[in-house]
Amino acid sequence: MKEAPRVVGRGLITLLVASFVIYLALSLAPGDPATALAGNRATPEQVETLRQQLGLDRPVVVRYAAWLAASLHGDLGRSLQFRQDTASLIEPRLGVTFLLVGYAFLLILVFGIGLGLLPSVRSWLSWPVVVVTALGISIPAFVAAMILIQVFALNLGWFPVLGTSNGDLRDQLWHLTLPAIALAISWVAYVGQITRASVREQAGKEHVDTARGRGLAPRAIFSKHVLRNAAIPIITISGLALAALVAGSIVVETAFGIGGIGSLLVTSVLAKDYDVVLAISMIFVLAFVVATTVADLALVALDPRLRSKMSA
Amino acid sequence: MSTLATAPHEWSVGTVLRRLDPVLTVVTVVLVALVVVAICAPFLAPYPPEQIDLLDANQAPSAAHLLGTDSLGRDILSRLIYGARLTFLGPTLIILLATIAGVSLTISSVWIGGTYDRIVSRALDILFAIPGILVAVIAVAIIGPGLIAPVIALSLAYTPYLARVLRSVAMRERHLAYIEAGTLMGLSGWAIGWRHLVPNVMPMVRAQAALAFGAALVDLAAVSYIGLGVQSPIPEWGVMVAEGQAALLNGYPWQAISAGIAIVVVVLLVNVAGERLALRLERPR
Amino acid sequence: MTETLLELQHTGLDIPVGGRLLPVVHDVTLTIARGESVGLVGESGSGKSMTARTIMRLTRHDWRPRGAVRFAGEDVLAMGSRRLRQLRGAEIGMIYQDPRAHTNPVRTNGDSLLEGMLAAGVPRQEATERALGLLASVGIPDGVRRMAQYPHQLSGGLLQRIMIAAAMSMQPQLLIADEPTTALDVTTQEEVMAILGEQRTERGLSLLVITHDLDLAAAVTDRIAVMYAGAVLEVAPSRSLHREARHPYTVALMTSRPALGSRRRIQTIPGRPVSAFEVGEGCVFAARCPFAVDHCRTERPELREVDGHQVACHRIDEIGDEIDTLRGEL
Repeated sequence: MKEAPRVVGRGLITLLVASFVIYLALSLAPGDPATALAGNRATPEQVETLRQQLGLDRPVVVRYAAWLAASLHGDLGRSLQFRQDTASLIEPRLGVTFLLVGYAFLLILVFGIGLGLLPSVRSWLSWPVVVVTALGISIPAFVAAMILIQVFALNLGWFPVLGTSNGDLRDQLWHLTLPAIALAISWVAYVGQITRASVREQAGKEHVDTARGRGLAPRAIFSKHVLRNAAIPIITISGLALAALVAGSIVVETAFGIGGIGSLLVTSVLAKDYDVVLAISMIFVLAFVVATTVADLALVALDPRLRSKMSA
Repeated sequence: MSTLATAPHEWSVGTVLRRLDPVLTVVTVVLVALVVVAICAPFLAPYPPEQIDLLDANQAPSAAHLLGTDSLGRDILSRLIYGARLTFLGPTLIILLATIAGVSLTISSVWIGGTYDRIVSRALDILFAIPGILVAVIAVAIIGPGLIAPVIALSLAYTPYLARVLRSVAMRERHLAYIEAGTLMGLSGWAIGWRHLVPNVMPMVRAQAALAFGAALVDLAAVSYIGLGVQSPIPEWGVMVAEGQAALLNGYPWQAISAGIAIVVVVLLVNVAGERLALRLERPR
Repeated sequence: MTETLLELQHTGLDIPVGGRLLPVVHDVTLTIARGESVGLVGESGSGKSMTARTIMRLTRHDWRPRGAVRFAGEDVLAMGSRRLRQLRGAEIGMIYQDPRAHTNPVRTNGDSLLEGMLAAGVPRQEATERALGLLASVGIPDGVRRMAQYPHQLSGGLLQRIMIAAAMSMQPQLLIADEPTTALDVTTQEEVMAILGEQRTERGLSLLVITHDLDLAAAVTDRIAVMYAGAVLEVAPSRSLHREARHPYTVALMTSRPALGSRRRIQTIPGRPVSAFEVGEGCVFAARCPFAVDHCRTERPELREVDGHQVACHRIDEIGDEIDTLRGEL
């Protein structure tokens, strides 16, 4: 696929620009890291020395380049709050967040697309699906969290209320089920809506009549002409959904007390722990760019019109 | 040309009645009523929102407290009514700012074109790749917790959503006959942009703004919920869910659930309004 | 007379609009013999394309066809879904006005060409060979390359040829061409019509050409049926329709066309064209017909033989002279 380098290149530029903007923005934050690090009893001279040691007297572009180079070598700075290496602080928490996001994404794909396809299997389900998805889209993750905790953890006792498991994968998934549902719910509804709409639109296309006129069976028409074409918007939305889920982990991890990087970001912001805020923001941006780039690549593979447009 | 450009402003009784959408009307009336309730909070709320009564804490709904009381004995209904103010004000500001930014950027870049257009488009694309909630969190890290940082951040984050939709409309409108006629008549780009393009993209802006309002409300409430936005004890629905969560875990779900449902209802209404407005655009009037 | 292939008798089609069934086709009676080419001509909205869809039962589940459609003696409206799939493609092929809209943009031209044959159980190898041969016969020599390409890489004319090849691939006995050239530019139009003509003579194919273009229909068909507001008003040999039109509508249609080299003032038909669901019980043209009497507005006339034409008009015997005068202005 000759368009792949182009798509990936665009993703890298986005990543670079976005990371610089975030670095620049965070460098504008009031409060001086040198003062904070030096502590209350430090003399102005000591603070100044520390500032020079930290390179804070240099222009922001130079500092960004240094930060970028260091972070590519795995050095993400130090956490003031935890008096610890940022990289070693983040690393054990990454897995939980990605497991949560992956779980939620799976729910979105299975139930979102499934929901959207229901009306084409049973046409009387069209209205129920419209109502359910309209309602589902309007449920924010943290509200869903409250309802899920109340019903499935407190009333029914099927799932744990809060916290992360230290056990095996099965136990972890059991702990992450309610959080994943809370995180996924509005996107399941949204993907369902998009799927339904795009299948409907494609089913009404004139080329579908051509296929009928050629004697194709309804099943073949649905898979080759309706679903195949409807997949294009569904994939775009799924890419956006994946990016949004990563950001949504900030809220859901806080709601369920999960020790991932989302909840760490919140405590780091409150503690003005800038190196950690910077590192986690970058990980999120990286995740968004990867998600949208993968979706773009999938689109190029699925839509031939995109290919020649890009090469033109 | 002038008929086309002024068509959306015809408000004779007949056309209004014909265009009236019953669902949209009902939803709008309910939303307006909620806004009125929020504005008239001091007259409508049965109790002051911050009146603590520890002896009356964690009460279930009753005649005295229609939605019960929270863990400090404050009346939940009163806090919901007062909380509606900031809960509505935040997204209103966001959408206002994002719409102004989106419309100006789109119209200027479609009109000026060239390098300016490319840079604006790329910048918006990059902004589009960063979910609003992260922008809000970073803004709080810089400015500090409160309503101001997330409002500014989310205005920024919602600009590309509005700009994208507008761009497709503006590109289409730009090549329509009445715009080209305006160019031939020697009108300046800005004059054409503001006098002709803006009125013609306005219906689209309304629909998109309504849809974005719901999303902005959710994002803003979420920022408050995680403790980075509006700070307790100021009543706001996201804060109320967060405060209510501890009570919910102790067996008193009233505050968290009622504030949560309030958010869902408003977002649902706003979304339905947005969908209806968008639907009207697709149908011939 | 040769064997009848397609027979429409009082065929109609009702479509639900806002909870009511409205007719889009009232009454079409028409036969096509094996190897014959028939034109179905009418203004846009007269129900031509809907008639074509009814013949192939390319209707939605809530559309209601009426009357009789018989293909080789078999009742199409009574066919089960399996039999219908055999009929579509293998016995009746169809090409459309806008080849681009009627081709799936995300599948290769090869996919479109082969899908009918593959669905009918033709092995891929054989289907590919047949497709290449057909492409050559419709004037596409580099078939292998074209089959690997996507629709957006082809011009409208090329795409229409591929549509023709796809329709011919199943060796149908009848080809319905629904405005096959309207979306193409003038030079391509002629080529496409020439290809259709060749295919017809080589394969003994029957053609139903649906068009709003009288000259085009006259050039490629043996007989022409003139449709207005969902009903066929006159069927005549293509050769003589122009000069010997009988029905008041047909005559009006002839006099309202500009002719090259003629400086005659163009007559317009008074009144506005009506759609099928706007007409009442009587003759569909009654509202605009200068000869209409009360009888015309209450009872719909049947087609009957008049001097080698079939005409649906109650007053055709009484108004012969007036018609001649009108026609004399041509």
